[in-house]
Amino acid sequence: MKMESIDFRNFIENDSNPFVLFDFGGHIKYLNNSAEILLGYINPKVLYDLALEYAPKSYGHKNILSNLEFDTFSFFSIMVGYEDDENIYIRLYNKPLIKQEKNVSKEMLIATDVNSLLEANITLFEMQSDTKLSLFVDQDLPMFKIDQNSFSKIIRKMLTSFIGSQSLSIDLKLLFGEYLVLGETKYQILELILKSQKRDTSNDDEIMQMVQQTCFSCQTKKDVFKLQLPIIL
Amino acid sequence: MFFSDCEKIKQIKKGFELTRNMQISTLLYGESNIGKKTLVKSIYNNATWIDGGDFSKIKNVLQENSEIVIYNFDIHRNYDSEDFNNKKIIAIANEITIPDYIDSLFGFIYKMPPLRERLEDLKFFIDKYTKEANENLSKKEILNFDIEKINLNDNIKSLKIDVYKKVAFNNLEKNEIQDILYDYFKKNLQGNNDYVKFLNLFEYPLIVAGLEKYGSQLKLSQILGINRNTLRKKVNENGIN
Repeated sequence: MKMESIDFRNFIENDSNPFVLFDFGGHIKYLNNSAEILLGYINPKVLYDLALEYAPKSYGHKNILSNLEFDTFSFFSIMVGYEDDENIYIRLYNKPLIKQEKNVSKEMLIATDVNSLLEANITLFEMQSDTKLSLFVDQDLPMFKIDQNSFSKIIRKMLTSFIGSQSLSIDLKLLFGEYLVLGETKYQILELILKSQKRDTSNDDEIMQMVQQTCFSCQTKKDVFKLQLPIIL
Repeated sequence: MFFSDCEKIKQIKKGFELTRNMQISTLLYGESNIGKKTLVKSIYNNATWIDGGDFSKIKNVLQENSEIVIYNFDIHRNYDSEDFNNKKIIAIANEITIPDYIDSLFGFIYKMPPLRERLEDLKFFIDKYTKEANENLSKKEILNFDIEKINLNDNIKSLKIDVYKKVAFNNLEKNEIQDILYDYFKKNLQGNNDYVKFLNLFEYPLIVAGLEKYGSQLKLSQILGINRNTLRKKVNENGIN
């Protein structure tokens, strides 16, 4: 089999692991689809600096096991390599995601004005904490179906972890171009982001367990919760 | 009618109103006699109300109704969490600490502050019970209350007792005071040194009120027409500061 006749670029182009090729000045010469999405969230210089830091001492390739997190992206390893003095590449390997099969029982879901429900939760939080709030919500959100009690329990627990924080930003927005897949159906996503300088993380396991029992998905970090809700109409 | 000027309680009410038409279970807890039931009744009067002490009935009520108020809610019982989903449940409890299990059952958990933490509400309750006591006792007393001296240990209940006592005992005639003392002595006389013992009933309020009114033992001794050394001795005997 003549290997020269195979165009390997397509394999890299469609790989789910981000791949970026830089020139010696740090300019991007090539990036695949996954890297394009990643660079929507982080500055390319971060990746270039990473490549320089972990570049092998001489021409070749080096694999480094390291947990890296950029916004919602998590990687368990990177590979850095160069074969001349003009180009250097970095490839980041996605952490495997444990896929959870979630069944959506629509009988349990009730059409809800999520802004009112969020406001009631914020009111409760304000009774317990002097934290300064900045609120960014979309008042034109449609009514959509959620399990109201579970949503409230999760939000209450999340907000509790910010009691005593100096400030808290609450951001509720529709995500465009991203979807949550439940069963056979794709749903548009409403994302709630709770962010502060720091928070109490001792209830995170409990919160994640509560989220597992719903059709929501959630990412936690030491300063932020990102809760994604499917817009079920 | 529910009334409160307390900011925290206004926020609880706002939370209840925002979720008025939602299928959410809510726990409202706090000390006895602080107005929890009255608050919930002002919003959910038409719901099915059930005593939480009657645990055997709760299960049926939870299955047959979608809007329920459970008063005297027993937080130490094991409830089936499924019974709390997709229903409007308002539970009212007196406990001031909530176990984790209960914490996971309710969408909203509100702690209502006791009366001693909401002094802005005292005037309303004093006026309310003064008016009520005047009507019930056929009196027309206008009273000045020293808020610091009102007993708030049992919240609205002890405040109400204080107000009723004050209305009942204000402007008593000499013979009414004598009647009260007559009943008291008849019930309690039983020792062999009771004259000295019960003299205190007369001397203590006389000296305390006199000192408050005239400010000094010297002045009070002149008013009472007794030697100031005698007055000092009686102040000490009665343990008056």
